[in-house]
Amino acid sequence: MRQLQRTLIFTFISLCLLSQPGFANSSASGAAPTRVVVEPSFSLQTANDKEMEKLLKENKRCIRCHKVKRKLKNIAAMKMQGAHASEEFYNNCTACHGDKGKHPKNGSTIINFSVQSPTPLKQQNGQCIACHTPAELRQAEWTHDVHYKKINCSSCHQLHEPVDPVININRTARIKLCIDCHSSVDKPQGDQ
Amino acid sequence: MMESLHHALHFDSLVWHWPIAVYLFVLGISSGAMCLALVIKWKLSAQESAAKNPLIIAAAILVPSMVILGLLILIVDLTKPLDFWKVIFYQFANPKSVMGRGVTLFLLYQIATFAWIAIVFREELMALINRFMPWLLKTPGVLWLWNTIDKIEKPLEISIAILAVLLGVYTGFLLSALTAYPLLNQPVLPLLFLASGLSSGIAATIILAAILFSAKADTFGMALSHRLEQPIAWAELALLMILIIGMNFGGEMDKLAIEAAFWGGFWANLFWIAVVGIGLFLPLLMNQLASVKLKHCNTFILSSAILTLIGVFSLRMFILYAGQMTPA
Amino acid sequence: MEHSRRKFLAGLAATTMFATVGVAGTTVIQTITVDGKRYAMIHDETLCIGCEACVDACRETNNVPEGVSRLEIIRSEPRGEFPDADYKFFRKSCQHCEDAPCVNVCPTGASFIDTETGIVDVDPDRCVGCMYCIAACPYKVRYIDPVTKSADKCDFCRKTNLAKGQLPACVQVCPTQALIFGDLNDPNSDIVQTLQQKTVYRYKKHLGTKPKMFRVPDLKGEIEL
Repeated sequence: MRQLQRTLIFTFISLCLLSQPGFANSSASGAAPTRVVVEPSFSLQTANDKEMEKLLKENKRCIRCHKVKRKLKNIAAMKMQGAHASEEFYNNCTACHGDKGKHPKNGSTIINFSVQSPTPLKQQNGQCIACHTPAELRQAEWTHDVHYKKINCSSCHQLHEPVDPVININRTARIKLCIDCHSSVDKPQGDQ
Repeated sequence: MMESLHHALHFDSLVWHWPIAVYLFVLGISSGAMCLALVIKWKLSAQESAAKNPLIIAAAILVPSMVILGLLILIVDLTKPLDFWKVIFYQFANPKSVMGRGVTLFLLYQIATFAWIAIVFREELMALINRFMPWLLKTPGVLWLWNTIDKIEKPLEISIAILAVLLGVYTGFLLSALTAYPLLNQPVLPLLFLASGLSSGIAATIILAAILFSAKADTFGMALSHRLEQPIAWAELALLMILIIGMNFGGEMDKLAIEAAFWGGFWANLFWIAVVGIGLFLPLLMNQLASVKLKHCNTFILSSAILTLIGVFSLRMFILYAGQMTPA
Repeated sequence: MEHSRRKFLAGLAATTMFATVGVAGTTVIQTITVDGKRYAMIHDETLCIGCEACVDACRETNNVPEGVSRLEIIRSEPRGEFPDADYKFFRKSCQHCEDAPCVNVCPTGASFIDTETGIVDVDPDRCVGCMYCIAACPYKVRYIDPVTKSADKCDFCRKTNLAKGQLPACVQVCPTQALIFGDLNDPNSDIVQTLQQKTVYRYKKHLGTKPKMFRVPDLKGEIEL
């Protein structure tokens, strides 16, 4: 129930953001959302040209299938526009999701970021803190400290979107976010 | 440097700013000047006229004007200056309030000191009134009132002495009533402020008398003033030591407050240099070392008095600001 | 945190507090006697998540101007290391002291304790803005309202929600029920029931202010001398 709630909230927020003029047709009109400079840490993925070649090949395999909607399994077309996208690494799917491996067959080692994902919570979040240090996370938002072990990062963050919808939400929306998950069913206590 | 000064003058727990220190300072002057004037008047021989004594004239100017100045500062410092009359109107709404009792005290003190001035300077005032507004003396009751207060001169003076001392301690109680700040919430504070108020009152009276009414070292009361100055300065030093040592025997917050106030930082420097050094030690030292001839020089008298005033004002600033640095 | 040790000590001493709770007709100041209700609040620091919904609800309900606040939630430094770090939360707001320093110093009687509810409140018409109460409050919860120029602070929503028969806005909005409000004179009230079950402390109780803001301490991992 809670998980559904969370998913709904974030779908809602992302929809709100995406429906803003400028976002919806940004890629079509060519006014591409500001591309973030390639993070130096991304280059840690490759030590030499041979590895780079392999990495690009892996990424091309992802895009080949996922650029269109997968009708059979009802998976939407993927478009990586967020801060973690990198042209240099051909969209950089593998940096977070891992290599294709046996995917989509049984025994896949691919890392899937969602509440329903077969990937354990610890592994999902581990992908994020491989680069984002606890100190950075704490400085950006203290609640990282108290949620890291309890919910997956993707409960709040969406990296495929041009801008992660949870970044820079206003105070009221932020408090609503707290309340939506933390509300208990009890009525407020006290008497007049 | 500028930044540390900014931090010294602006911090989170600071509620009352420098105008309150000025307010406490001028009230102390009024209280001290009044006490000095009474002592001189009581020591005067029957032949000498109090109205001709430069020190008493200076005090008679300082006493009411400093209270009025203090009240003006207080009113301007209110967030609603135009509502100041409510303080007088509702002064008995809360009998426990130190400030409320202060307002009562001001009213009594101001009335009593004006009456005293009317007695002491009766002839001078009479001449002035005759010249500028003779109708006043013809108004029924005015002369009767004047004659009546003339008859109660002695009891009036004793009441004024009591009120002046109360005014001196009031400036201390105003701050020591604040349980929220350990350094302010000290029983020794009213005594300390009374003593430093006396010093500043004497110093201000001497300065005014010397500059405007050509008081000299041999003017009656000058020697007396000096005789009073030194023991008061020693008393102030003793009270300050009692404050520091006593608070060091206190609880955790007392110790923290002492540490923050007296050791290191802008206010500690101000305390040791301006309050103790300039305000207390330097005048005491000057009086010990100077020859009799030098002591009779007006420059010497004035500079010693100015140093005392600097010290007393610094003490007011120090207690107000350093006191608010450490909340309970 | 500066008050953590005090919290702990106060927690230990919490049992002694019951002696003062529930005694009707205690003299507050001079002739003022609380003879009706005696409202108080519990902030359960073990339940508080620091979302500050209470802060915003208070501002909206009581029309508190920007720049000042009747209620703040103060977050401690992190306790422990990532990913096991957590925080303590402290509610900074009026404690509705029974022996309120702000009321004691007020020269015009503008600061008062409401005899029907025991709530410490301010009469903005009577207040002249001398700021003596702001200096006197050991909890530093008072401010000058930039609009009315009067001293102001939390009044347990006396003039808003309470007047409409509702709980204070902060209590209503709290998602984790970390706030409990009620009448200390009513033995069946939620607050008295809770006070009889949980260990609580009161902030700066040693100053003799008799604060009516009770706190359930969140002492996990407390190693501080």
